[in-house]
Amino acid sequence: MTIDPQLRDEMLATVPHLRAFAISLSGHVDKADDLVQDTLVRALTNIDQFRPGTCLQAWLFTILRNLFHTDYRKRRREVEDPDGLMASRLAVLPNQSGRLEFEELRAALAKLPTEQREALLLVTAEGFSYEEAAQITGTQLGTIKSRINRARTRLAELMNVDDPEDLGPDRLVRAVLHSPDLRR
Amino acid sequence: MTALSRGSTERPIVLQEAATDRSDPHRHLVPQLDPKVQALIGERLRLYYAELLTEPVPERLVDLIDRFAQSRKDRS
Repeated sequence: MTIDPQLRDEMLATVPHLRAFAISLSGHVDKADDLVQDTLVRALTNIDQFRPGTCLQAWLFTILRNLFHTDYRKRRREVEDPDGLMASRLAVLPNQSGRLEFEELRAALAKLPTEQREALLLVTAEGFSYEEAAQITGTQLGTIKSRINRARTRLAELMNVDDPEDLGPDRLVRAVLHSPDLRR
Repeated sequence: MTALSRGSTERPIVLQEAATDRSDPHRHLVPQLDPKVQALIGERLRLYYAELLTEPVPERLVDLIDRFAQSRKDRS
């Protein structure tokens, strides 16, 4: 099984996106890298199933997303996590550790239900269309729209954003200083 | 090609359309979010994500892809 140089380059260019998605989805950098590696192995060994001319990135995201959910369901059976404590453990990257402005968002993101988080990440962060996101997640268009809507509403609640003027850096620093529970 | 550079093209206005889309059976389930708040949340999320995208890719992932690309070169 081989890939041509163009496909190789395209796949390589997608890796940072797969990683960013996997990190934001799983909340763990190590787990994310394993997930990306498994995704690439699955893709490379089944490359004959990829239809040239279709979106490679969407194909790879579909594989990663399905692997994540298989693994997630397995872990759910092994360890009960009623309070979402495991799910809310946060991934902190070395060069992000001191970044207060990401702390709050990361904590809020981790508290979203997985389905809402993945929909929001695919469309708002990664820039897939609603249609592509529906295909990747194997759901209906309306479901995707609804999940994104709920995700944003919940994020606004968790980050205490009800007034846009309220999202300035001052407020953010105050929030982090005075609300230790934000970092749980 | 692809969605690689699409991250910056999605606009909060799209969500507004989605929220008012009458064909969406779920539309009534979620209260409307202030468009400005939507925009700010989206902006914050994209900034966070952009930072993740600048992370260097672990070597083992590059090697993995190249092993498959390599085997072709070896053959020809």
